[in-house]
Amino acid sequence: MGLTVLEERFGLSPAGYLPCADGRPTYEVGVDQLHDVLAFLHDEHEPPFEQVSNITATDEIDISETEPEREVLRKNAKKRFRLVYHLRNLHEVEHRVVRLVTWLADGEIAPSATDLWRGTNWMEREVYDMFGILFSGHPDLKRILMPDGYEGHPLRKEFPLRGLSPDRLYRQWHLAHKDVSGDGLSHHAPATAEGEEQS
Amino acid sequence: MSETVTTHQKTITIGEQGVSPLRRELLGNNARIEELNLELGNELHEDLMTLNMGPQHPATHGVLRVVLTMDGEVILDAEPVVGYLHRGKEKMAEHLTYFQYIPHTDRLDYLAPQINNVAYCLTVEKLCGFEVPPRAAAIRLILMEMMRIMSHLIYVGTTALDIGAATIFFHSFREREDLYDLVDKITGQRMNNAYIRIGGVGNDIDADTLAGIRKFVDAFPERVDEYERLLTNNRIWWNRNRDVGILSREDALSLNVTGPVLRGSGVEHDLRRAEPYSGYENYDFEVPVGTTGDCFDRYLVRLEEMRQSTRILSQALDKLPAGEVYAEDRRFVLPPKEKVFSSMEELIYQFKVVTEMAVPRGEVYHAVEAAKGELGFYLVGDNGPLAHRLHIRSPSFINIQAIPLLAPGGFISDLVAIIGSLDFVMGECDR
Repeated sequence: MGLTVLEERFGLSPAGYLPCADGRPTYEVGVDQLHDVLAFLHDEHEPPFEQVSNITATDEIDISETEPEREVLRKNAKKRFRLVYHLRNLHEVEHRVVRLVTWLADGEIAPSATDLWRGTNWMEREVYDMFGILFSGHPDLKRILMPDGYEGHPLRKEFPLRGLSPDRLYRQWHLAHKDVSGDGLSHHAPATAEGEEQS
Repeated sequence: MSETVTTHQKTITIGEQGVSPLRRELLGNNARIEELNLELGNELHEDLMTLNMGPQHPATHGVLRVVLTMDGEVILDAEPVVGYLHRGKEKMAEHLTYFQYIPHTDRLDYLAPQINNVAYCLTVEKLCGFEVPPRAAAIRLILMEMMRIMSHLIYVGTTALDIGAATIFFHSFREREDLYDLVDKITGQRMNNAYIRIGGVGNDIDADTLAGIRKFVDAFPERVDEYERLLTNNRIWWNRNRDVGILSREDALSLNVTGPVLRGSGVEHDLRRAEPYSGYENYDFEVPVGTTGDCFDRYLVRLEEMRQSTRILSQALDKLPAGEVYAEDRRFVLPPKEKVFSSMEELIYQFKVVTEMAVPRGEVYHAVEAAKGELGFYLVGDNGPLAHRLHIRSPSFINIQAIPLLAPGGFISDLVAIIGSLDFVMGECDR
């Protein structure tokens, strides 16, 4: 079962880290190969995979064992993050969705797919926002769901459920960021709780 | 608090506090204006203006903010800013049990909550490896199609209201109210029902309610004809939508948009056909597609989808199977309440499912055709009652990305039509 063409052409092997409960072909791709595989499925594969359903990641750190100076991964995990792509084929084919998995260490940079599908722009921004994974070649990689200037990446396992500073408002993060970026707003609206009440 | 300024008979709202509105350099994104001026190479365009639409604008349907760069009346650049309704749904899923998370899925697309419930429960059921009884699947399907009609009714009503046709709003909300009464009878609540369970549905539908749904199904196609009479040949509606916000087939695919927006651009793709779930393969229905991909096509697609949903409902009522509405798998499924109160074993099962439901380790991606498009859940189980990771692929989040492509070249009034025709819900977009 699977897309044998990927095995023949790129030497990929089906991913075995997690049992696959939905029967979708799942392949493990090295980060240096990732863009080539995506481009192949988009441009050359017949029929082409015309859409990306989603791009997301999982954090495979073992939070119960990890200490500040020592990062422990879960059993069998190769690196800290699994970057997961679901590509969708809109034609009548056997496998309408293929799943690609790339292992990334903390700080490792993935290639952007925005040159192949414009719609991956926000998906990659979301992965960056939530996990801190960087994408090279992305036109405008900035936060999307959390406010500009937010500290931390919420879906990392060590991030607390209530947030790092739960009493701080969206506006305060946002204005603190504007203070740094220097567009002239900060001296009118200081990013403090007092400033909120005055205005 | 925001300030309003009136220049040239236009009212501009500036979102930031304590800023003198007449200082040009404060009005917005100067770097972008410089860039556009260079592109245009025209000194006449030095008066480009940044206009902030939202996040509290009635036409943005929630808390979407669009930062517009304007050359007089014409939009040159539009940048949607989202995240104002972010509640950390995906993070919460890692700290709640699978049953506790069901009500949270209601709050995604709150105009069609049962579709989210079903999508989530189907994902968990797929990971656990069991299926619900046929009657439960049929009841889910009936609810999903009712929700689809309700969501599209909101689209017809509010979009027409934004554009200036108020009458249709009252017509569509009258039918929506009928549906809410039926949903209230089935689930016990009007909104945020949390009626779908892992393994089935909350309780069976009684014959009285089924007769009510039948009555609605018989009367509704005539109502859709009435909307058509009010809008389709209405010259104002036509002019405001025809050839506005044209999304080509290639762009629609490249932007990964789904649902009526994709079908409006002429791509015949519907997950109810492509990857049937809940027994959709047994029903006879058409998938409407548009030809030009403008706002008008997206409107026609949604109207036709309401008719097709009525067809599906009618067939589902005809062949509603008898039997249980709850699966028997006691490893993952809560026992029915009346059995819990009368049987010791069932009480123990209930306790075990609540505290130590062992959803197997593994990954699964399951998507359904929600009212707005492909709603998918990517779930990673971890041999325990908590998920390791849950990602929500929300159609609204992806579809909003079409705004920067569709808005430039039009007027603000066109943007209102475009936003209406993309039909997104910010609760689902921001999660």
